Amino acid sequence: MGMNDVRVENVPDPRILEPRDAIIKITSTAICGSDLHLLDGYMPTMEKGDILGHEPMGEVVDVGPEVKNLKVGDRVVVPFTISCGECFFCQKGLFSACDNSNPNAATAQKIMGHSPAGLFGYSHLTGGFAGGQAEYLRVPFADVGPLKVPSDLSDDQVLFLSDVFPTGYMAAENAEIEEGDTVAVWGCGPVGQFTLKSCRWFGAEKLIAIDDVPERLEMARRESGAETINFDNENVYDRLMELTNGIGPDRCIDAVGCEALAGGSFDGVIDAVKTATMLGTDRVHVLRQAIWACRKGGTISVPGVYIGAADMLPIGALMNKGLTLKTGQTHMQKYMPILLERIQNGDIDPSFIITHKVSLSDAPMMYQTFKYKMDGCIKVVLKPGMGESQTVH
Amino acid sequence: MQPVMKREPGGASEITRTSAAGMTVKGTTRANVRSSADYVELKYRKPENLVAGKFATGLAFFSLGLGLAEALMPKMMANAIGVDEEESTTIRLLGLREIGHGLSILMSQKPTAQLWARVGGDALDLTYLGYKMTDDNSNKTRLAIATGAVLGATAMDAMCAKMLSSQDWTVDKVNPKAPTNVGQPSARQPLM
Repeated sequence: MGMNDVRVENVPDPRILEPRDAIIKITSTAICGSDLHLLDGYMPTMEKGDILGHEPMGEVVDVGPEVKNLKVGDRVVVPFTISCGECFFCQKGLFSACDNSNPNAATAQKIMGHSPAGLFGYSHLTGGFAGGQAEYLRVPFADVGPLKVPSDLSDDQVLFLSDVFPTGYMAAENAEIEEGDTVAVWGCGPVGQFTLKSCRWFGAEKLIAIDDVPERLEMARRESGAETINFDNENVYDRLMELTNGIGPDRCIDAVGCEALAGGSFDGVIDAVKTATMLGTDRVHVLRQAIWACRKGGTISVPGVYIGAADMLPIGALMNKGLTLKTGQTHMQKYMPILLERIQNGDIDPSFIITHKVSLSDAPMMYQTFKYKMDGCIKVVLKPGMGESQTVH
Repeated sequence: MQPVMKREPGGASEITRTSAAGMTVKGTTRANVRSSADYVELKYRKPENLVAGKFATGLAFFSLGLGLAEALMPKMMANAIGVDEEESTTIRLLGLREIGHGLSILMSQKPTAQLWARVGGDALDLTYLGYKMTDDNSNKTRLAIATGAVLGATAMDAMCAKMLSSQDWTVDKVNPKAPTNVGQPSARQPLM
């Protein structure tokens, strides 16, 4: 209901408002790391009473007359982006750049030059659409977004097709990895974990995972065979140079975004002061560090969410080292079918990131647990109607 | 080969490119699809709005020039308009007002209110000049010429403000192609 204030309230059920809408009864939905940017007040244009959540799945309970590919009873995963499927950008597969899904595009255009796609539960800048941390969700352009999933796969196995798995995969693809490359990934939350897994599929030989949460680093070692750097204990640049014979990682991936912790570094302190006093929007320490550490001619991929403007970005290093920078919200509809096939083939079971499964009514408490990385929390799944909460370790 | 893109009004583009296999691909890629650029930027760039916009920009630069002259060379300006050099503080203040008006016009996409404010500023100048007409130390001829110049500027300001007021500068608040976000559940009005 405000900064650091999440509540569970009874609200009217959503209904079909447009011919291409569908209504989904949510069976599983997750809290995303990017929800914390909303919780912490970093994202402008949030309003009291907005419904959060953009990682939902469930059962179709109603469809608009123009939705021909879904029927009542279908089990679907809903991508966090809303895309029309018809515009210039959707036709090119750039679904998160959809021209026609953000009703508040004029506002977004004033801030960014052009409007990105509408998103579920992610401020009025991206459309003001009610989110999926709820019992029911209205899905606009439902003939383009939701992906039907087979009944032999559990919710836990397919839920993360809604965001973090494709986001990690696109981050690895954007990194332009070549066979034998060394890839450094900042941030070992769920996106970072899926990025590490995906990097292997693209041919990365050595993976270096950077974080300061022991459980996350342990998961990166266990699940992806990554070497790890705890930035609380080690100098990241020095350690990266040690691990790459002074060359620097071939590819650097910033899976942290606008709320980077900087371990008391000078730029981190300046960022913290500026964001705390509303003089800045983003703490970009990780991006600076990635530009600094990346080998000459390397690639930096940024799946982490940034919001406004960055300063003290070493643009000279970026240019003179000949680095490539690739970023973007995930083009979900492009990647979801590919990754569903990976799950069906047994290449991956995405449920490995789940540490907490709780009832929807426990969401306010779990936001705090997730925010402060308590109780080994890496990924929270909310189950509407679930009785007793579970901690999965 | 770089694709050649011809942009049509309304966001439709005809695109011609050569594929890797050497084939020429031609097609309209954005026909009937309204770009977010269309409903903000293009309205601003409508030809009739452009004339008024350029007029306003010209007046803004005139304001800045006059204001800088008054602020930096108040004694010279006092001589030019025929008032005593001791009036330099007043002239400097009038100059700062001119600079403020010029900047406010340049910083606005639709400076209608700023232009009307400039008309108000002109009235202030005319009041000052009229007051100085009663001062025996003033050069009445120069004061009359200055008053005429200010009256001319006032007429131009009013004309520009009127042009801006009468035009359709409305910016669509809502992307007409997007799904509505009205009528959704919200915890602003929770069920009891």
